[in-house]
Amino acid sequence: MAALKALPKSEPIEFVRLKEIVDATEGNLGAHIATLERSGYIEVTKDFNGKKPRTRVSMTTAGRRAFEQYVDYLRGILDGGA
Amino acid sequence: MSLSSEQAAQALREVEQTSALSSTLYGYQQASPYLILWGVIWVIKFALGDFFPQYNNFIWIPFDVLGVAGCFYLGARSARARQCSGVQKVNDGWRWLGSIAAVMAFIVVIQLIMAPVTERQAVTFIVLIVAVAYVLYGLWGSPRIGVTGVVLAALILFGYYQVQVHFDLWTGVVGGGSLILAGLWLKKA
Repeated sequence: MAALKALPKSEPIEFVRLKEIVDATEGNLGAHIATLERSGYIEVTKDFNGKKPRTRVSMTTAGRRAFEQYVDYLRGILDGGA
Repeated sequence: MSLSSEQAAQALREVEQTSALSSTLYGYQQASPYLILWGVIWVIKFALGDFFPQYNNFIWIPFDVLGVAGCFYLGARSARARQCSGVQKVNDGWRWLGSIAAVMAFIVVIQLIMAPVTERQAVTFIVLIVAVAYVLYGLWGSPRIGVTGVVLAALILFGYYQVQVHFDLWTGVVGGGSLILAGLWLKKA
């Protein structure tokens, strides 16, 4: 979610690139993405780039809001407010 | 389940690190076509200048116009531009045009002050300005672009002191080529 939040709104990122950024295995990342997609926090698009299949992931508005709340929650703990 | 302050601090650190990495890689991806565009323009422009030195004073004009137009086209296609309002796009457009005009005026004025300068000195100076811009960009968060600037500066200085004939061709092939390679390097980042 942090990797997606750093991109412009609704800008997708390729699964392969995301895997490298978060240094996760394909299966692990796939499971996380499926969970986040079911929660409506991200959108997954599958298409072809030339002849190569491509999976792209983008953050929804709800996902952005939820992630911001999560970061605020973490900061709140550090500030002693949560 | 609530988190301890250590766990929260650790989670925030990870969020910041991942955001920074993602942002840098996205920046590389965005910068890549600009470097490739200017690399191709440099190769053609300087090669033509080398083969037709009598037109050297004018050859750069259509190519620079083409490069600037290409940059505007690439900028307008970017995700950030798609999210901007029409007014903001126009303002950004004027800011970019103003920035380009300011840099060009600076280059011309410096060369007038330092006159007489040889064509070789003028070319080296312009390429060094571009290289410094890349180095500064690199220092502020895009290391690969910084490395590109250092390589570009080293190559043009080597050419200035060591390449006695076909200096323009050297600048085009080595300078333009390094921009193209850097663009491909960023694309794969």
